[in-house]
Amino acid sequence: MAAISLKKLNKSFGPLTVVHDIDLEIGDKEFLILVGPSGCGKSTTLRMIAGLEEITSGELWIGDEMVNDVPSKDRDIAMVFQNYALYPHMTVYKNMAFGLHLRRAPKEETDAKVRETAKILDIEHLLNRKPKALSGGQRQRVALGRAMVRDPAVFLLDEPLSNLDAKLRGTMRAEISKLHKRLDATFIYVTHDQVEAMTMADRIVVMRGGHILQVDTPQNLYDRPINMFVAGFIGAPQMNMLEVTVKRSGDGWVGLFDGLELPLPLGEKADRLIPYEGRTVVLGLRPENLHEAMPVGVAPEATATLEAQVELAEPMGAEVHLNILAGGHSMIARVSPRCKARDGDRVSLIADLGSPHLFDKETEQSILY
Amino acid sequence: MKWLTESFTREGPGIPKDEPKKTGLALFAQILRREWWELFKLNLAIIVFSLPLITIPATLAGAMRICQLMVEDENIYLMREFTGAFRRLFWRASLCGLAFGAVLAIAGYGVFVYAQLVPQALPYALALALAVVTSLFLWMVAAHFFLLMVRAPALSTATLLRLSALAALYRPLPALGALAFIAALWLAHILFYPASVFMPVAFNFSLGTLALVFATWRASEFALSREQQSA
Repeated sequence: MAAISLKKLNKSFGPLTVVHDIDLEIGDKEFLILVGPSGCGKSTTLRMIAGLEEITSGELWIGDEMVNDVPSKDRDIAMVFQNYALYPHMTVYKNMAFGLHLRRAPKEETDAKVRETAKILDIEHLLNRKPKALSGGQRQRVALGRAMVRDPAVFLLDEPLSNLDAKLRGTMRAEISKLHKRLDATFIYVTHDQVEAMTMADRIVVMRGGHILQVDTPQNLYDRPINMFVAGFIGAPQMNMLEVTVKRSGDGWVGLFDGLELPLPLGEKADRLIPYEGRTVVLGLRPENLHEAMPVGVAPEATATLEAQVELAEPMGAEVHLNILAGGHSMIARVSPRCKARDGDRVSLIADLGSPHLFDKETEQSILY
Repeated sequence: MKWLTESFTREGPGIPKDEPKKTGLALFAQILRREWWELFKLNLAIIVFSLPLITIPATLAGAMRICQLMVEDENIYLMREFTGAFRRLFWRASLCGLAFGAVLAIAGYGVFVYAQLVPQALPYALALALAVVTSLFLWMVAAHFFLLMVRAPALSTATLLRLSALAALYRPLPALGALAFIAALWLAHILFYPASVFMPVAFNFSLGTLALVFATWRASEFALSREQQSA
């Protein structure tokens, strides 16, 4: 059983508090990812769970035991670091066996575990090699292997893919996800890469300034961000933010933007806009909700046509990112590769407003969450 | 110190899984590059463990065990493996080593005697040639015997002797090459003394053992496979 509870966890370095009253429940065998910009406290939180940082206040529970004062080695956890932290003078085999060696595990058991793990990670041919000869991806596998042989209940991974090139990162993402399913252990993973977070996590914790902003599944975070920061952080290219003035229109609402009336079909949440009538709110529009033609399956009354000028067209292969200027706002539209628009062209884009994201301009909180 | 850290942590080129395995001297060179530090430590271990003299055969068995792992490209815990083989094979290696020592000494003495007689009567050249060939064959058998003893300690001494003779006949040239290499190492030490004083301390013993194991490896494989088939 490796459920983990963080209760009012704080971390201060002198007068500077970097983690503020964090409450978090991590389920047994869950793959949880802490994500946020640099300096948001995600690595510090992970290091507190690992026992590498002293907890200033609050409680950390692993299973049924409060482990604030339990040494790192007795927490049944294994950590994988960004820089791999392999011993350069040891072979891959010895690197992997080192933890078991320290625990004085029988050498037959150590040997069996190292070889079994090496087989899983497909690094059997590297066992007698030194880290110096290995590529980044191979080193990362060894670092994972070193954690795996200890058979811990919890894996802590601190930006393990950051040093790899983009292609290898993609491969290793899939490998780690498969590994999680195979090992049936709790994974807590820190990254600033939201693609990693979206593709691998059961749940994502978005942090900023030492606070947890939102904890949810990747899809829920994407569909229902709690505030403008989360909305902007999750999704690439990031969500477009337009300032619109809320106005009644018949039974519903519209947002006035650059002389246009953008429909805001809110359904049963329509009442939430009452306090904002006549005020400016922020409308979040995902780049994939801007189309060059009327999309199939979208109600025409939930769309609006934006006239825009293309500042830059970025062909991505499977899609084109149009950096556009509409009503004095810079936006990004993700359109099909068949789009022929070039830099400087004027285009008409259909904005699909079927599921709008609306944020309070002052508090930056979602109005509809 | 920065350059040292960077040299330690710099990413390597990576090792492809399906990289074709090197063979022959290229493989030997690869093992040397990979294991040079272990060889240095092994050399020191050989010197220390051989100091009581009576332990020389068991030390050779221990060294051969390490070199076996090097050739197999297996992980090495040097002292654990070395002392393990040393202890496990102490009595057998000592007794067989003593016997081989005696036989090789007799064969060597035979070569010495016939070499003295050749200038007096040319027909002794035939006897000398026979003595040299016998002596070399015995050296090869001894080398194969020790490797086979380390690789298959469960086999009886008689079986090991039979397999050693078979292995020596199967691939005599590599074994002879290894013996020549060892002789060359010591000759270089003698010729370049005192500049070469570091050679025995640094690598002569371990490198010689590795050369012997490397050269007799395939023949010992052959002999062991034959033994398995007949069993």
